[in-house]
Amino acid sequence: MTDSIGPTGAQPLSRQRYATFLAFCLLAAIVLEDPLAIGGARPDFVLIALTYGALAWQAQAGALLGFALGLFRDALVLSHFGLHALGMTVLGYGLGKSRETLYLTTRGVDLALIAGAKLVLDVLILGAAASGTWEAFETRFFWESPLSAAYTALVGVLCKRLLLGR
Amino acid sequence: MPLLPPARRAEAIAITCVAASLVLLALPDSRQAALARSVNHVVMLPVSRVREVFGGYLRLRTENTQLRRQLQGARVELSDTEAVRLQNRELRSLLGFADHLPVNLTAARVINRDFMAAPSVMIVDAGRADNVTENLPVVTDRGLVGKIVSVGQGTSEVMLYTHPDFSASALLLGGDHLEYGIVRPNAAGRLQLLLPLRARSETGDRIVTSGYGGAFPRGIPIGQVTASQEDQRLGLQQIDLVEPGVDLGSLTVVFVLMRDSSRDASAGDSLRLFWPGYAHPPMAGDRLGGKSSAVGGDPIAPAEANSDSL
Repeated sequence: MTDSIGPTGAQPLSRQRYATFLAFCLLAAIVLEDPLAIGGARPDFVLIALTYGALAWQAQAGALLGFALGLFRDALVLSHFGLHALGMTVLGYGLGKSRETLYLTTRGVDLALIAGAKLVLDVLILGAAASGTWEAFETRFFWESPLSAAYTALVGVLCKRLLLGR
Repeated sequence: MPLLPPARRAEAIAITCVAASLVLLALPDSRQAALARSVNHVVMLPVSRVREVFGGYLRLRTENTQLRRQLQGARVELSDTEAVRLQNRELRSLLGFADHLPVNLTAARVINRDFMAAPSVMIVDAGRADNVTENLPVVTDRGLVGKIVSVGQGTSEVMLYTHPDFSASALLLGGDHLEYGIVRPNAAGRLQLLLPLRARSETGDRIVTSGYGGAFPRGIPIGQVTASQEDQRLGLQQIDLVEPGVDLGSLTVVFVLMRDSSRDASAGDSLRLFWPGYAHPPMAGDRLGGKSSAVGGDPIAPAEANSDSL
């Protein structure tokens, strides 16, 4: 891992700051997600941590970070062990790769990336959880997922602003 | 030399992680659950420790707050109980005193007072309707408090012995002698006894009203001598500092000593008060002899047990 976020020219994210941010996100995933739930939509703090980590250190680190954070999420969910690891590895790699070609670092881009990542992850997770039952997948994906994606994106930008100062 | 070029390394790591994830997903449910529990245990252990410690801290803090509140309540309750106990003792004492004193007393509650360092007046809830008139002595079982200076329908104003205008003719009960003088407060509100220079007094000598002047009947305890000194300015009189018998700060109930119409309370009449803790002070013409020559026994010795025991 390098201390730079690469070709964007934006300020580098130090490992210490990211470690603090990551610790907060992991703790929030355990403690805050349920209290912050609104109508079934809840912010995904693990995904937030993954997004900013992958954007900062690109595809290789993104894939490793995604795998580790996915296992963490799997350990919290206690079913389909490895499913989140799979999804978040792909996401981490994809987000890291996106940084190589996407030079913009505005809040709008952050919002879009987090929301998109959440939707992609939900497709995988809800699809596996629905076990082929379209109704179950439909209900959750078309109602909870967009809300959760928007909520996560907003919380992610807010956390970045507060904890990373960007 | 690295196995893979840097451009391919990311793909290789991602593929490895995806493969590992698929392997995990392919495990039997029981193995998956066991693995999930193990990882969960590792992940959650520090969090549960922190939660436990923090929860314990919060619980202790709440408990501490509750206990503090209870303690505060208990202190207030204890204070109330103590106040009631003291009032009860005082009222019992006054009740016994009123029963034993062969004069007409009117009980009155203190309903207002000034809160200066040395209070000089107070208001009591007995007035014209209770036949209270001006200049009547106000006493407790401990002795002289002051005198009535103005009377309303249901209340009266009492001039306390600390008032700058207060004075009373006093009788010092020495072991084998009597001395006449005047009791009045000094500028600081401390009670002092003015005696002729030739007079003898000792620390601990008791002082009662002499009956002269007509304001106070003979024999009401005023206090006792704590120190003696000459008047530095004139050298004509001896000044004894007096520790008053009555603590004005704690008064809640007093008695107005009603005038007996069948008697004249001026000096030399036969009014003799019996005060708990005091023998009768000798009247004019009584023979004194030795330390215990006062009429009724030792004039300074308590005549019976302390009034607290009443």
